[in-house]
Amino acid sequence: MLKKILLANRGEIALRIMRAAREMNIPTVAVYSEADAAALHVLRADEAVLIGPPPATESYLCIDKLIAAAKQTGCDAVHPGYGFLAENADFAQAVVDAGLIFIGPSAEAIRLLGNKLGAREMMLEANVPIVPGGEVKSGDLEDFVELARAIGYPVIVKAASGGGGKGMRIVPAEEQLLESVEAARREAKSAFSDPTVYLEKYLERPRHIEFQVIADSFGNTVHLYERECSIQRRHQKIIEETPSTALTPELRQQMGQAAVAAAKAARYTSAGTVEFLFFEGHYYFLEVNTRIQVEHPITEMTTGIDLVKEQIRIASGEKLSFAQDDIHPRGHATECRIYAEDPAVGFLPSAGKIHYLNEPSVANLRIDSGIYSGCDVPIYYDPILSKVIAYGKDREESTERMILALRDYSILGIKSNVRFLIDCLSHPEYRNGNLFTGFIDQHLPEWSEPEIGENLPLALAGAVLAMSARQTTGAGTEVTAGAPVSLWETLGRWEL
Amino acid sequence: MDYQFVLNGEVVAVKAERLGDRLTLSLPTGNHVFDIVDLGNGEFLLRNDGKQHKVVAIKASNKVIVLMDCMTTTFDLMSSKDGDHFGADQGEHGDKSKVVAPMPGKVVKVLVEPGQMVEPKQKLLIVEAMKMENPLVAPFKAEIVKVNCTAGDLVDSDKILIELRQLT
Repeated sequence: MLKKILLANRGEIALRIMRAAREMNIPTVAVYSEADAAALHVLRADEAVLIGPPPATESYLCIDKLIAAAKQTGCDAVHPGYGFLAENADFAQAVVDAGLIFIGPSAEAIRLLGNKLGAREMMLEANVPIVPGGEVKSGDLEDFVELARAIGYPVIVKAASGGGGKGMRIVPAEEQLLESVEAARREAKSAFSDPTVYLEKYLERPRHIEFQVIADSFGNTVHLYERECSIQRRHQKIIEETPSTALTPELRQQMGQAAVAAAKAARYTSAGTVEFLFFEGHYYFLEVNTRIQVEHPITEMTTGIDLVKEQIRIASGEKLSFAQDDIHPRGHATECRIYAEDPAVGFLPSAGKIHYLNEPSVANLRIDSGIYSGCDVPIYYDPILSKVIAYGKDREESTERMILALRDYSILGIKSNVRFLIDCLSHPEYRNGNLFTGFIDQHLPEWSEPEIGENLPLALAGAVLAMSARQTTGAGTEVTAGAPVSLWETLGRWEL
Repeated sequence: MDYQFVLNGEVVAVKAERLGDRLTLSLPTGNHVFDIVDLGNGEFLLRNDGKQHKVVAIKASNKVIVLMDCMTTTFDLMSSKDGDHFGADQGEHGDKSKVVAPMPGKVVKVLVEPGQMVEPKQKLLIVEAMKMENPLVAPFKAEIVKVNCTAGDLVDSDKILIELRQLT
């Protein structure tokens, strides 16, 4: 078994991995930038190493600093979490070259699956359905026109090395094709130093449905069923659930088998996610995420399997402790991502101090959180704060439980998307299960915070109480009674 | 005690009297009486007309933030100078003819120039922060009076980036 794990990440996912390790009696080492000295993942870890200034390029993205921190503290393994270097093949290789264990797939599998065109070809060979389209080997614009005609408009131009919507262009008709190909090439070149682009049929109202897979180093690959992640803003998921309302048992079985075939084709190990677009009863391979996903907890809720603990076991050379036939998902799980952002102004991120936090406590509810009352949300990183995961016997119960939990999720000092999430979950089309990736743009396009209206006197009473109440702490510093004194702030670092 | 709060750019005057656990507010629209239970940590239970409401209220520098029934209301505070309040010429509840950086970040692109007419919600410039590109849009139909930044500038929060003149 592993002896000590370096957490090459921050926030809620670093804490999530820490909990899994702690249950297995494995100590953990946090790393942090100067902006994160009082972050929860640092306070909770067994040890913590400062790795640089706030910008991620000078801290969380520095391969040499992370490896030095692992060596210095006597770690034998590194967990990358998600984001930052999680899908960077060079990092995975550097960890192995330093004599450490990378808790994730091989550098080779990350590299193979990271190239979208390469992944498409691999899936074609493995008989996994892909979106109609492909590469134009000659690079001639004439050939792009011909290919686009063959697959039919609208088409989408994508960057081979792309991600995050960069180098992507939707082309409604032939007039815009050449211009879009050229613009996408320019964008792809500047963002990924690779101008290669390819064409795909553009699906107009698809669902995003993904399958969790997990594989050991002995050739055992199992899928842990699907997650529906169609509720997105800025191409980023905000609500995920399992099971999906769109799949029949037959489709579910077929897609699960396709996901296993996809993982096997890349000789994949550890936990990974095979993403599909689902449209009019057909599914198409999109890509493989070679890491633990933000939304992994919903799968854990319905299957009872701790994915991070399994990753650790696989990394230490153990066989999977279950076979496909052992997996029987039960009930329904929903996850909402709590972001520091303002949904009323284009989901603009909101950094600052959290003056008050009260997270709900409800039966069959899980909260993976990286924040506390009094902590700062720095401007430098992804604005995810925490995740709320609600389990229920069916979709109705899971959704109702989530709404109840969100109504009790109180956060003051920065803007959050809590109220927006409640409105999404309460929308009749959400309740009917009619989801697609454009759901928010279609159903909640001009969302704004409800007006205070007749509750104004109550809010003013609250304001008066906050203004008039003052108290003095033992140390003699005056604080407003309304501003809670955080345990963490007063204790400093805590030994657990 | 008299209080003056600013909500969405408008001043709300409140006269408050507290007697034990009873708070009486006199507003221009009428009087309201609340029985208060102070739950600590900024949490209060307010009873009024046989109903009870949990309210969280925090004073943070020049603002009071109140959370009630999943709704957040931010009141700006009047400064000591008459008729003036903090954040009058900056921030979301202030003068909307000045477009300010909502947070420290980098100007990625400026999409308008002085003299140009813009429609409500038209994108004026793009600021990158927290790994994302955030468009700042015109609050109303306006003429661009001044552009105080160029692409590549690092800007602090509340820096005035663009000045507008509202057109009716």
